[in-house]
Amino acid sequence: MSDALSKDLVAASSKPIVLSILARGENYGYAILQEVRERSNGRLEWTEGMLYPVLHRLEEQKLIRAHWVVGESGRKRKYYRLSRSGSQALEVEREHWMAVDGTLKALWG
Amino acid sequence: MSDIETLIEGWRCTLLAREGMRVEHADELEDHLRLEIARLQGGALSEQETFLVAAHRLGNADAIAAEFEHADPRSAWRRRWIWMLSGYLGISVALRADLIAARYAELAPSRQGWGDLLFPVVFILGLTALVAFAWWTGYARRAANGTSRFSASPRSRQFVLAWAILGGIVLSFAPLLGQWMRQLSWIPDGMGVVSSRSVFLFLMQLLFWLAPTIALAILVWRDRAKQGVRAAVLAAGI
Repeated sequence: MSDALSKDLVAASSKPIVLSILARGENYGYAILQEVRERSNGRLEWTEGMLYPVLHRLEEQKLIRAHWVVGESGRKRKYYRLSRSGSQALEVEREHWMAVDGTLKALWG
Repeated sequence: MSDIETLIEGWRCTLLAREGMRVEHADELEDHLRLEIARLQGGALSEQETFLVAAHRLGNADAIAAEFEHADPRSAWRRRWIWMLSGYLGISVALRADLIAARYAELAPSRQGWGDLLFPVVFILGLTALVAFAWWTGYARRAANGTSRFSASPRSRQFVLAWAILGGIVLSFAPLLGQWMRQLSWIPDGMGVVSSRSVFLFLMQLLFWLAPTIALAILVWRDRAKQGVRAAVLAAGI
């Protein structure tokens, strides 16, 4: 049962996962990936670089907002947080995924 | 520069060479790469190996760039417009140079007046606009690669872009301007452009130059409202 999830499933779930992580507070790419790895017990294998286009797309859709923070080392880091429409989108996602979950449970019950 | 810095710099240039990759995307990916390298350091791996592992985990540059492009199709169109505009401006200047050469061959050099001045002035303006445009796109590219020797402020870069666009517009209107000045007897007969040809040229130039310019201006303006001047200027240039 330790197989990695299929690419399609990973891609489809990236939006609700990113939105859910950001719903817990603002965060940056690297830490978001670590959170995903931890929460999924390593079963969700994301090609790390692919997170960033996802974040960019969500930003374009105004579901998340981003700002750059300059650290002590002088290096910039991009932080993301959920926007109001992002919270609403997350609610919709939750309903949809619950519907899928409920259907499968009923079928497999 | 240490070995690892050289490797990171090279990796960053490879990323930025991809279409659709903006400086801010590369900044963010570089931050990730550095964090991963830092995490791997202290283990059994050599410095170079930590870089290789971290870069491999981030994934293929082409695939990442393609995803970014997919996530923001407007930026691809912005870039196409820019290249279309610069190509068109080059052709305009070449056409105008040809016209001037023809006029000077026809006319005695002793004739002085407004008309004699108009075409060289338009030509020079067009040429400077072309140079400005080339500098501006070149600057954006160098800045993206981190190899720029200049540190132009966003304001001065905007000025250069504005100058390039203005030059293009003046070039577009030049045939009509010539026609109008000839009607006012400012230009001696034979100096103005043949009317049907000038109207055709004007319409073609309007179509190819002004329409995309206005569309580009709207896009840049919308981006600027959202992302800040620097991002919009760089995004349009690379």
